[in-house]
Amino acid sequence: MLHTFHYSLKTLFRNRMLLFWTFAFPLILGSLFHMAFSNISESEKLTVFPIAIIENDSWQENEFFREAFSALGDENNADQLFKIRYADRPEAKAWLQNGEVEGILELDGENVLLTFDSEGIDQTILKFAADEVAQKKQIVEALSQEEIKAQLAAGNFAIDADGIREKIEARLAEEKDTLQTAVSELDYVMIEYYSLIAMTCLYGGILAMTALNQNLANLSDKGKRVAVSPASKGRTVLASVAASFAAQLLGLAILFLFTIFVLKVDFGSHSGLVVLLAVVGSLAGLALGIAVGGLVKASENSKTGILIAITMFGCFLSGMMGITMKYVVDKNVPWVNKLNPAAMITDGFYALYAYHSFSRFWWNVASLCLFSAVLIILSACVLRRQKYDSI
Amino acid sequence: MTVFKTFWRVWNQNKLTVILFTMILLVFSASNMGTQETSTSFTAKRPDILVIDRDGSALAQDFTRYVEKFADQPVVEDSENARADALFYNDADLILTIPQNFGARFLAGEDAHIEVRKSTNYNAAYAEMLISRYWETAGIFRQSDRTETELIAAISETLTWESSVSLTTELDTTSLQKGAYFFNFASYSILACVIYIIAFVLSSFREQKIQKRTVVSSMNLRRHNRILLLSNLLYSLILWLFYMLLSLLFVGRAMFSAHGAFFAVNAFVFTLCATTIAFFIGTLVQNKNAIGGVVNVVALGSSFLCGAFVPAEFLPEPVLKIAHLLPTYYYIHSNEALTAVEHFDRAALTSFFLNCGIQLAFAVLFLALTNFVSYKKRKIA
Repeated sequence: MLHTFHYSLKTLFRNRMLLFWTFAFPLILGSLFHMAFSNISESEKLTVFPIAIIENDSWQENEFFREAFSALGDENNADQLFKIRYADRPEAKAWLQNGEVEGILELDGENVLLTFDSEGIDQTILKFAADEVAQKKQIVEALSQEEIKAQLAAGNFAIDADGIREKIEARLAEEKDTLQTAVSELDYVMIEYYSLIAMTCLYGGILAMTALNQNLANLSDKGKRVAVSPASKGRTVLASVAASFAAQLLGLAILFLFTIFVLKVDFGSHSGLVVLLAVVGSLAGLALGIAVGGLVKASENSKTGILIAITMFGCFLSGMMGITMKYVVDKNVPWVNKLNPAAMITDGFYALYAYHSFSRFWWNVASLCLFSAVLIILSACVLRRQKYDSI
Repeated sequence: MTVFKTFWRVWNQNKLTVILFTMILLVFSASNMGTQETSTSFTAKRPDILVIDRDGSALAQDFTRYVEKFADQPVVEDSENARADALFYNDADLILTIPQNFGARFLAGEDAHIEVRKSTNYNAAYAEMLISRYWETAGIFRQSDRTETELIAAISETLTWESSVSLTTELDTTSLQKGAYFFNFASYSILACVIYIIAFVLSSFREQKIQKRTVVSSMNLRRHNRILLLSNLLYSLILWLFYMLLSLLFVGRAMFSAHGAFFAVNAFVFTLCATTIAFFIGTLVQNKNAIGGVVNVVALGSSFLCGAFVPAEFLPEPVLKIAHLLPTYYYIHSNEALTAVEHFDRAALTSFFLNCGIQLAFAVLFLALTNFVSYKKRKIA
């Protein structure tokens, strides 16, 4: 058995196509992810953007707006939202057309006019800020009226304007802590790396399938020789599959080392569970490879094609080519990802990363074990006592 | 006819790959279908805010109505795990929990807090500003001894004030964005389907045994090559036509506009370019087993680097610089630019045709490389 294991390993390592899928392709893809996603979290944060304000008479007269926007455009203010450029209308329109500013703010008496040439988050923020300043102005006016009414009601006909202003300013500045905010710093780009590990686990199936094909008399000359040899078929197959599993784990180990030390991906503190999930995931890949190898009657090339197709489609559904795809599938057609081994692996890693409890993680591990067991048993039933009348 | 038939026989053996990559495009497009209403007036971005109201007071209900006015409420299962997932995958930018007795405590001026969980993106930042505005206004008016009903009326009166917005564009940006998403992602499927099939066919015809038979046969070699070339082009054309039919389904009305026609022309030029890449790879790679690997690296690589999966605006500068060396970049650049083109004036047309020209230049380059490699490999023992 050790002899078969040794030679199966040698044969597998001489197959360049296998080496590519198991060792090189995941590293290439990981590097691509790193290049494409390294900026995404930063790009999604709110940034200061340029706007134009038309400096007309209404603007000059409206002190409330001038003060508010000067604060929102102040570079020394931590809450700066805009980079403000002042101009007359034709110049501002030219800037807008050339894409130098995201929007124009113009005051016409009490009316606030905004001009945009597209819709987006920047335009929405400018509208929000303009609305809020105008609403604050309204609040101040309402509060002033309230105060004046109160003073008149108290028989005080000499209105103390400064006193009212101070009172209102104090009310506006009062501590507001109604919202208790917790920011989730979890990075959803991690799903990409999880699906990469899932892909590598499942591509390992090509190794198992090739190892199995070497024992099938209808597919290879080696298979014919094995079939007529006195060696036990079960033990030979087992040794070949074990060799493929060892090669698969080696490929996975290289990928982990590459992602952790080169791409600086943080798999969290549960290293033991991460390794366990990767090993169980590889077992699922192996089972898939054996199933395609044993259950599908086709040439070796077609079988490889089928295995790659299943793996790629499974990884696509688990978020490899668009992170939210996994969530969309989980939410709308949950049974699809319950049958998809790539999603089970990705979800297991996600559960370790985002959840405090381990129940979801163990559920995924159990699902993978069940998936592997079903496929291996099915394949064993088909492969058992297979005989060839003629080849 | 023999060559033509053989082409389709090889296609038939490998149709699974075409089906797979088309399925991926279909699933992607279906998940992006969304039922956003098309509009040419300004529509503010609507963040996704999930409100869990455990209070039920009139104030909490009014706040929920306010949130619904400015934000979408995602439908999320009532469990802690489902909410954590929604936040992680940006289905909800903000999750708010209004605790029991919040309304009463707030009105009494006692400590009353709403628990907010948010992600780090700009939608979440905007969503938080929106809800802060409500509670700041409520806080200011609360101090004037108003009843709950009076307080709600005062908040509502203040927060209904809005600026007037004029949009200088009349473009239906939502539909055009959808078009750009579809065609950008289609670059992946087109590249993969075209390269895989053509490279496989070419390598089949270049198997030494087959090639020797072809050379000694009575068939004129030029005619053989011409039929092979036309079969490849016919396949690419059929694939392009099929994807255009899919675009009618997924992009919809926008495909019947000038923008739609430009999307289609751009995709046609890209398919031609992909065909020449396929010629090159098919000539270079003789080992059929290696084709799958090469297709995946080329298709996934150019899609990730050029912005087919991740919008180009999110890609880091050095990656975009590398992307300039790939034809997909110019294809995607045109698709993105089309979403903002209001009138097809000289500047817009120049930019569009320049990008098409660059793709065609790549096509010529790949043809030249194919000829060179083919010339070097012509001699067989």
